Amino acid sequence: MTQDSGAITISIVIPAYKGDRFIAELVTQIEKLRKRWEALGLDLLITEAIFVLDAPVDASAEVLRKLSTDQSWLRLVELSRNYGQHSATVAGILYSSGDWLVTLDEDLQHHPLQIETLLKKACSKGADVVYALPTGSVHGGGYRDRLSSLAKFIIARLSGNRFVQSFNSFRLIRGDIARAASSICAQYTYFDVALTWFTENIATVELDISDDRYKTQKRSGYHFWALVQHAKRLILTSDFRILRVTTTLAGIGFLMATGYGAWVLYIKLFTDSLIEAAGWTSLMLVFLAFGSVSVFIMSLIVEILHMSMLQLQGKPTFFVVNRSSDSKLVQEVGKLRGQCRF
Amino acid sequence: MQILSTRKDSPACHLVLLFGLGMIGSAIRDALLRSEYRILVDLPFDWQDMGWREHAFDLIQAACIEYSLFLSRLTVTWSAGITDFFSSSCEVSQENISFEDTLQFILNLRQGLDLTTFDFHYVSSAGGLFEGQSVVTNTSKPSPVRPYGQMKLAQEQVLQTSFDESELTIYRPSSVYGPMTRKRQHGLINKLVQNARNKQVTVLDAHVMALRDYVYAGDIGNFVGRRIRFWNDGGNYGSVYFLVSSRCVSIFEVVARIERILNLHIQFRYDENFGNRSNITFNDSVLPPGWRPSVLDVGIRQLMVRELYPCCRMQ
Repeated sequence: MTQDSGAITISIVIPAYKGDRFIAELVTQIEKLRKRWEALGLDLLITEAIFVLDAPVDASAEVLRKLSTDQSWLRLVELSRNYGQHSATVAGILYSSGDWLVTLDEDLQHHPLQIETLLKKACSKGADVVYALPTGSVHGGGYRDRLSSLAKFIIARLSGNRFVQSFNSFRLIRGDIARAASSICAQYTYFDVALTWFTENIATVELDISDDRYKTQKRSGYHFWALVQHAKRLILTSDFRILRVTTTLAGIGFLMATGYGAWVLYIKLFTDSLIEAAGWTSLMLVFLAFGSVSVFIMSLIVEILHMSMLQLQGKPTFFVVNRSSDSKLVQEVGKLRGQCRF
Repeated sequence: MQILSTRKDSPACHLVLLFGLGMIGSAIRDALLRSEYRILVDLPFDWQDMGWREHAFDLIQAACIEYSLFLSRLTVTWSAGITDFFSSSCEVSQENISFEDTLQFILNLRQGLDLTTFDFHYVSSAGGLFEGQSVVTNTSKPSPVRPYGQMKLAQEQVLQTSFDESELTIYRPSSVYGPMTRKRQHGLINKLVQNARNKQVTVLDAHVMALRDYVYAGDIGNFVGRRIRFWNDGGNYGSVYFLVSSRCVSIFEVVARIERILNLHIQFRYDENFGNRSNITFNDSVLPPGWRPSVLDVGIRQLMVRELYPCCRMQ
């Protein structure tokens, strides 16, 4: 499978947990895509499909082991225990070597043939990351869809990260950036947020994505608490703009207290006006001044803590990226003719 | 070089001639010392001085003859060499002369001794042979691009014509890291750890996202040591073993992991080869049975323990 150094290589990363019924078809579809590119004579290769066995609860491991004997490009990475989809994806990325990476789910809601659409988008936008955006509801409009959208909306507003609402597990990423982001991912780092530390060249493309497994069986690969963990990770990694708002408000409060105090002092010393409720004004001033100072200091401490946490998580000062082979990618993707059928 | 032996009065005395005591050679030696082997002779081996080499050969021959009455098996391991990826053709040729001298000496020695078993273990270089190739498999063809890799390939070929298939094992490790030795070349991980601890700047000779495959020297030592000890058990002779992790790692990731493990900041800068971003990665289908490479974090921690507590090193 060694490729000559000129070809653009693509690795596919798929966490496997509860999808044994879909895996054989998924592998067939990937093979179909490989053959299509080969038939078109593209210098674009899917060199590996890395299935990360996240302690599957069904027969996924057995199915994959059997399939891997026939398909040399199929690679298995077996995690020692169940770490969740997020960690499994990060592990798979760290085992990959492709110039570009595609991450997708095991249950065929992300169809491998749609990779071409992601590639076309990356070429047309010069993007480092392309997320697939579902055209309709993924889970049939249930609470999962609404909850997911709501959580992303709130976090996007609070963090000021405009990409949060685009995050999706079906993504195309430049290999270097994916591996760099995965390298620094700690237990609570949200991979997609970490990606935004390396690039802002992020595009989205609308695709027909539907979780048929969930719609028909009300079963999903990951349960509710896993999604809560997902949200928690997103909150812990995001850069919270609200902290700056509270710091600013506290600063304004302190300035108001100082100004008001100066005005009261002026009245007391230089005018004949009488302050009727003696002591009340001073009390309010003390509350306002000390309260705002406390909030200001606390906000600063929290912000410093947050900055330290981001630094601890490995948020880089800078990162160098090599886009020299992009023109070749554009050229190769330009040769993709016709529509893939699936 | 060192000569290791099992007990002299044993009916099946086994001598191991260890050429090269760098990171890999020392690890093989340590693995053997943890079992029934002991150091019999410790000889200086000079790469430049032919006179010294001849003298060493005489001493090796004398030791073998002394043991010949009990000697049932002779093993030679070659993990020697002072050249690396960046060595010039001239440096590589110089080293090759030493190798050919030694090989000729070994062939003569084997002829002179009445041995029931002879085996030669040669440590080659996966990186040197497959530089610039990604997802290397067992069917991939070596195509070295530098004098170092060309020398390693030529040496493999010379050995394959000099020995029977049943006598020769070739090991192809990827980028090795492990406890420092006196030798001048140390891999990237060793350099990064050492410089981080000494607060020095490391000069990177490749692109920060270039993918490499790293293996811990101790794992190689254990694997080769086991092969030497149980040579007759597996019946798996004449093999070429890729001693790689099959988990490619970028320099960026190595730096991040070392920083996390050491809790130190690594300072680095790029040299003029910054543009060198050729990857060398391996498919897991090349991993030999019984080969269990440590994951990078564990390997770096093992390295740290050996560096911080050198008294733990077996002598």
